Amino acid sequence: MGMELLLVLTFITLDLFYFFVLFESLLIPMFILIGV
Amino acid sequence: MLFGMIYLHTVVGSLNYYVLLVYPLSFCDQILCWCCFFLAFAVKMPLFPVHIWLPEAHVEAPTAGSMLLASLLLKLGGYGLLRFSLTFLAEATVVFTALVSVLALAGVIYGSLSTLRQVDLKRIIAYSSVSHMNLVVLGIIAFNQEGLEGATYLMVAHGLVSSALFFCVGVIYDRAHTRLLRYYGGLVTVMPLFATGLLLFSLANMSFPGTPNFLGELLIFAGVFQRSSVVLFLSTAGIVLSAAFSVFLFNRLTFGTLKTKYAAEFTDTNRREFSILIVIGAPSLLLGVCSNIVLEFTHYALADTALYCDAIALRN
Repeated sequence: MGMELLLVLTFITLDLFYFFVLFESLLIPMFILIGV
Repeated sequence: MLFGMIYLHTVVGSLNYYVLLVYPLSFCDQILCWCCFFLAFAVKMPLFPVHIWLPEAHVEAPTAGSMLLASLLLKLGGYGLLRFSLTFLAEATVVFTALVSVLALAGVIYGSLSTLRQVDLKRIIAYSSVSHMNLVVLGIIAFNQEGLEGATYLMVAHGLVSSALFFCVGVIYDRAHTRLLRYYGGLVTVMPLFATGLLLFSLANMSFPGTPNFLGELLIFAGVFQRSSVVLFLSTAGIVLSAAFSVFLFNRLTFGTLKTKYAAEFTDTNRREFSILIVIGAPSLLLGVCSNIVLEFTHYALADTALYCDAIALRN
């Protein structure tokens, strides 16, 4: 759910700063999904 | 990317997308920012030679993780290239076209060749993902309507087909608890439903006509041909190889004799697995024959970008 939210926000954001934050924060749920 | 963003904010004073679109960035600023942004997007795509993380991540990840990784995460890089590199950094993108073309071509051929020598099922699909995503980059840097639409369409198609293939690997991993290819064979005798699903997605992965990958790759090749016939010729070599590894994978898994005694005890897909195959397979079949579902949205969304990039490419 959190990952979906982050992905949708990454695709719709129109500010480069928010895009960067969301782009990088997607790694957190991926780490949990893959590594834990 | 962070460095590029800070630099961009220092120069422009804002990071709003619409402000960046109209701000006249100098050529040197564009080059610097393009390098920073491209590195981040190239790793995410993953473009050759920064693709090594992808097979490793797929091998470590559970089935659901691999499906999400292949279907959603990789597309962020392509989206970033389309959204940022082709708009306010377009002039720098045109300058680096030759370099990116060489890297993407190497990725298409290397990715396809690598699949032929892998023994792990997930690695085979991961390297085929590398090959397809590098083809997406080739479509993006064709700078025309066909290339951009093809790249977008192939990203959608790859999201469905690749995740379905990872799911198929998960299905047989649940039964045999190994992903090594040498332990599999003759699965069509014990798992006919699974074999049918695998056949469908293997055909889609090799861009068989009637599948969404075919339409995406056809549009990309139409776009690439307008730029360079040499690049087209070399990239089609990757497609021949992708057909080879798809046939090789399907043939080794489903035909021949059962490799282990306990393989005879395997049960076919249960209701849960079959319903997931249907949920992924139905849109794949639909997009293979009704491309307008996606293209009617992307056509107008990408038209301005294509015209703008095409004009800059012709000027240079």
